[in-house]
Amino acid sequence: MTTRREFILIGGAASMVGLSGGLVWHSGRKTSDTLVIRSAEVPSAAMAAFDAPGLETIFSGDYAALVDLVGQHFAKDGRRVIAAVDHAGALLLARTLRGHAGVRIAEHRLPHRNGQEFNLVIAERGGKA
Amino acid sequence: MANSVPLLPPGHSPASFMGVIKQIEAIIGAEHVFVDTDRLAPYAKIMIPDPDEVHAPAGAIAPGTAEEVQQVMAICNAQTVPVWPISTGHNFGYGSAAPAMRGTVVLDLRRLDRILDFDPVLGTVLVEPGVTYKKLLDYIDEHGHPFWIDVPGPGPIVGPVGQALERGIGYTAYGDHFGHSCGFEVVLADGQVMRTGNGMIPGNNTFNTTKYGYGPYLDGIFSQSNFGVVTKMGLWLMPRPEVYKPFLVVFEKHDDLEKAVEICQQLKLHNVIKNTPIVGHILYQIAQQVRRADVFKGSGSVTDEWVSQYAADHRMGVWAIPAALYGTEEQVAADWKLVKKAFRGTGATVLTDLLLHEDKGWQHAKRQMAGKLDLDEFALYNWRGGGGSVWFGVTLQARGSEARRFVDLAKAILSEFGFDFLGGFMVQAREMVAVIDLLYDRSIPEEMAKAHACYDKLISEFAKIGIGVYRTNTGFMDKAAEIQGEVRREVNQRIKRALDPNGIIAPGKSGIRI
Ligand SMILES: Cc1cc2nc3c(=O)[nH]c(=O)nc-3n(C[C@H](O)[C@H](O)[C@H](O)COP(=O)(O)OP(=O)(O)OC[C@H]3O[C@@H](n4cnc5c(N)ncnc54)[C@H](O)[C@@H]3O)c2cc1C
Repeated sequence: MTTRREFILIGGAASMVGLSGGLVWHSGRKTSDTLVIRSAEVPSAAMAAFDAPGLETIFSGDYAALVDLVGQHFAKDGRRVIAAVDHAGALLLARTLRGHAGVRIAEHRLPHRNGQEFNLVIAERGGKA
Repeated sequence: MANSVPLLPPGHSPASFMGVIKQIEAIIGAEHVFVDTDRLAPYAKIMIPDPDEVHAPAGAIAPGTAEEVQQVMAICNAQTVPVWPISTGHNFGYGSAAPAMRGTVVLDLRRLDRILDFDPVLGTVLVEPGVTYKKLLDYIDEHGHPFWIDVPGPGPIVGPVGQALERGIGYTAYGDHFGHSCGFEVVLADGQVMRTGNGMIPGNNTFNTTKYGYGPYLDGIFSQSNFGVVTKMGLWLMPRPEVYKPFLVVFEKHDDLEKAVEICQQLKLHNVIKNTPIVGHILYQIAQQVRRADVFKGSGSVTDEWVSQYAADHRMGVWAIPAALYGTEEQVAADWKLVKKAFRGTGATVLTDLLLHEDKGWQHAKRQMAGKLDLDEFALYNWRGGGGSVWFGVTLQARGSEARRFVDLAKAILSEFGFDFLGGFMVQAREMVAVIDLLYDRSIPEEMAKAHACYDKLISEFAKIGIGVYRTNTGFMDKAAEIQGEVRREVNQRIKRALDPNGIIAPGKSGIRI
């Protein structure tokens, strides 16, 4: 099994708002079946790098709703979730997506200039090769 | 099908293992078999202080029916492929979904998620291992059944079978999860199926109502063990009470601990408080609200003085005890009088929902004590960040002096390593479970090594004073078993050899191997 895997840099907009750049994998096209989730504290510009046309959802600390939302997205054949959330949210997402056939997950830490830190989780249904 | 095999079960070549995988794929479908690293990753994600590789699975297989489990077990037994059964697989802080032994194949039962029977008169339900509490609660609500469920912290994403088998704890009057299970269907290592209680008598209907049946009581040997794979379980449900009265008792000082435990124990012994009161240290609550780096500027562990000051500044106590009364108007009114009397003159403040209703931590406690679901407690993992967590839980006599002894020793050990005391006591009539969540940053290797050493020392030092864990994580199961002594170890081993002579079910679970 292999899926095409590109590495992109969370640079540009992200570093302008104080998030350090970094390499995360991100594959496939950016389509409307991408769900973007952002903690209210994460500057929206940080997510602009992903240029995802999907609906953006603000995460305000309800972990059960977060897990539910992402689970439903994949259950309804969504392809990808990009979530910039706190440690706890990332930890839950990375663990609860098990069993959604073919969903692969990458986690990345985003240190912020103000000393806070967020985690970027990219979960993607890989085309089964 | 996968074309790369990153890890093999002991004694297997790539060819022999892939042969087994092919056989299993033919039974359960290739889409339910995972052997490539990417798809296995979520099964390997642990929070305990061991490197992921130590518990890396060789694969994961997710059969869809009990019959498929039987067939898969027969193959694995014949080909000596070890399997690690999980139900909903979220045993966070105890090893998550990953096996004790590297190279074991995870037997993921999440697709067995049917609610097979529900008796609204007797309050019993028969569930498969993949049924989550969310599914069960949705079912009960949909059908308007007058029952509650009882859930642990990760309520919506975990389920009753894993909880009962681990002998986990919840927060209504039905919080002893193994105690409220009744009747297991078990697939044995050779693929045979057995039901406990009277469940093997043709036509018998007491499988989920009568615990003991005839002869030795077997249910217990399938909990915290590796003697079989549970594919069905009966569960007793708490009738929805006419009145639910949750309350919070707050003690202001560290030194109030003994008093708090003793009063709770008496209220439990006399069956006034119906659920499990948790004498909780306030740092466990604080850690869910703020990040450590933002509020604590000192080095080493958070000190008692800091906690007292923070609690005072934020109008909290040092010990907070959520508890609840359930029953008819008359019963609850009578019990409430006894509760108020018990705490009168002790310096405690007894708060009701009326005063507390805005508080987020209270909302969570109130939901939990009514068997409702959220994941709010996960906010704990923002305290330090880095996703490291390992629970240290022991059973003690329910005495104030025992609680003091526990806190003093635990804090001394934690502070040696710079970790914080986030814990509390779940007080019953005669025993209590003391639990600490040892939080650390898994992304810093030195911190993970320290967490490992700290946990190791906690087990060792408590063992020296005769105290053993009530449950532990996959990295410390051997050590916890050692403390129980050689005879106990050998008896477990003899049972294991009799039921699973090839040692294929969960090698190392609770320190048991053939
Ligand atoms: C924030 C937080 C709060 C928590 N609060 C609580 C709490 O209040 N109470 C509590 O008890 N725990 C608590 N936990 C610990 C843990 O997450 C729960 O106990 C969880 O329910 C266990 O996961 P599970 O139900 O998915 O069990 P699983 O992971 O499916 O199973 C646990 C273990 O049981 C065995 N097993 C499971 N199914 C089978 C089977 N069918 N046949 C044979 N063996 C099997 C396996 O060894 C398995 O590893 C908490 C954890 C966190 C992170």
